[in-house]
Amino acid sequence: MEKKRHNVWYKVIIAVVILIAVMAFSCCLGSVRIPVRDVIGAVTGLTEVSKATDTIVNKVRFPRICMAVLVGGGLSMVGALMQGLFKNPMADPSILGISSGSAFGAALIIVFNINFSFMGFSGLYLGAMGGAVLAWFLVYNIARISGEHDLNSTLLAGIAISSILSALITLLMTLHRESMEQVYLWMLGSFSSSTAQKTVTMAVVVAVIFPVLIFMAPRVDVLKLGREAATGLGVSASRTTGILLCACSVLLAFCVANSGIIGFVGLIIPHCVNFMRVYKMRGKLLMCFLVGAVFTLLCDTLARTVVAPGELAIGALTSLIGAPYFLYLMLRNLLRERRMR
Amino acid sequence: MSFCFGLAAVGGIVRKRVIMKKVIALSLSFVMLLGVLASCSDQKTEETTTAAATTASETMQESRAETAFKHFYEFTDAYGNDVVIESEPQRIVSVSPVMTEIVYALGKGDKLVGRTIYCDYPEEAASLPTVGDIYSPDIEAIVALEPDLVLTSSIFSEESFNQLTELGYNVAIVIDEESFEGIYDVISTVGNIVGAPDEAAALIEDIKAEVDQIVNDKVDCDISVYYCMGCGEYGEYTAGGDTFINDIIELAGAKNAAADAKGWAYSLEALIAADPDYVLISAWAYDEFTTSENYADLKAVKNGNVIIVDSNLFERQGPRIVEGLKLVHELVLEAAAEEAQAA
Repeated sequence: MEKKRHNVWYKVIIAVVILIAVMAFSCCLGSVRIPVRDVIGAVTGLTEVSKATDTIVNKVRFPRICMAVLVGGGLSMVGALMQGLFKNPMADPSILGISSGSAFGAALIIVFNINFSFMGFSGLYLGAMGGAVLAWFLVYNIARISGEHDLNSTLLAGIAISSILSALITLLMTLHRESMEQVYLWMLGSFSSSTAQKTVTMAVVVAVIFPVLIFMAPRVDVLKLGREAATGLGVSASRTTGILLCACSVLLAFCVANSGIIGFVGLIIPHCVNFMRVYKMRGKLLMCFLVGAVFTLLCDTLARTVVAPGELAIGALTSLIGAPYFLYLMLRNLLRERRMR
Repeated sequence: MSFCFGLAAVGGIVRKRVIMKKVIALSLSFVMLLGVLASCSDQKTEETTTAAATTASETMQESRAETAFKHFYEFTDAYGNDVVIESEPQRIVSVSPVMTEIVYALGKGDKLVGRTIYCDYPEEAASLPTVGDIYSPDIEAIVALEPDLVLTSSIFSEESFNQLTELGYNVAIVIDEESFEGIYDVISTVGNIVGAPDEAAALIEDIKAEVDQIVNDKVDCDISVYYCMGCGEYGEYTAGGDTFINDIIELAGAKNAAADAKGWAYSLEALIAADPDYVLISAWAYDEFTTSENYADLKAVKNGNVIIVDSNLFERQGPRIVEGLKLVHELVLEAAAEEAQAA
């Protein structure tokens, strides 16, 4: 037992080191060539750099990097919890219907050209949050009709609400073709609109939700034994599920409002962490956050440098890069099993 | 780093699960808080720099008031905000092909320092560095050019607008109207913003003179023109009755075949029913239109009256709109001449 705990910590430490290294590395890359010396000067404030360099590194790149880290980590954690709670390796954050809700809110704002700003947050951001809240409200209450928090109902309600909202989005797009490209591009996901304010808000959200998830994580392991066994061990399935789903939804709503729908991360990162032989939920959540953060950050850095000054859709990159790597990990695992037989 | 090692050491020493849980959760939230504080301090420096900038502009305004100079120009942008341009812009980044054309037409091309990848007119613009396109402008590239004004039109996204204004840059979003008259407003506003009001007025007068000349050269000929923006698998797209392209066609003396439509979407059935005399189309859609079965029965196709035009002359609401107008007018004259000959 002791050894396993130590193993997780070593992996966590390595992951943290890698994350910091990738963050530093990404600060130096971008559509504008800035020598590493100037980047270090801008970040530490030790040497004099031009105002443009200072603005680019500290106010354009750094918030974006932090946002990619937070969103990538958040999505992976939610994915891990979905897979743990629903005991389904194919579960990913979108089953809650929140991504569709966000997309619907954003589509409404884009199509009807609703321009407003509240406390520095654009209408698009608030619309996406509103849509997410709406979707979650519907799914949560439908699932609770039976009196208890039922996982099955949540899943089905999530699928149904997702379908309705996706259909509405498609209708909106086809009836307003001139906005179609914009809505679609938003849905494909991008970190290009990350500002310092949004990043700070996201950091606060993650700082609040992260401890909640870590606290409740061991109970998910207990729930895997089944409802009756869990209740016998003092873990209320309904309450645990309810709290976790609410926490995940808040986190997910902020993730999608900030960056659009980035599909692959929540599904595959938990499996990659599984291949790293981290099995218990607490360590898994932590590793998922770190691995998800590194992966999303790498993808975002690629997205904004490869065709600069243009940008690749990050949703496509995460799938293109993640899927082959995932296949590699899976094959390696399978071959190892084969050799052991 | 050392913190993590310490945590691992604590994990080794502390056996009790409950305490371990609390330690982990607390320390992780501590790490998160550190991150939040770090980004907060970034924001604080941002606030102090904005405060510094405001005091700087205030002193500038005061000194200007002393010399009885008002701020340079004030106008209402596409979001209904009042935008004040403090002084004549010396480094302009244009995030809109129309704006690039207008700025060059006003003779202030030397003040431009950046353009979008689609800004292809005039030729001098090609030497400017690019900053992406109007739908997804590259904020880094714009910042690197150190502009004192970002000039664009109302397709510019609110997100990008917020980002740039948060970073402290002046963004002027000039409303583009869906009418021919709107173009005069756009040119005059841009002229005031870049400090060339006289050139703007002169340009508007020139355009108006040419338009008047064309309008007065009315011929008694009723041809219907269809402006094809998209055809084939993607559906039919044209300029409906409420667009400025419709205005161009009407001013030139022809009839817009799609005048009954609103907006930009159309249908193949309506197109066949309208059966226009002339079809104006872009080079990339020409093959599709002339070879596809769908359009084979149109008299424009049969008579070879499908004409390739430069769509930028019609779709950019700038000074070159006159060229588009002339083009349609020539068609009208041609048709009138043919009719006269046949009669």
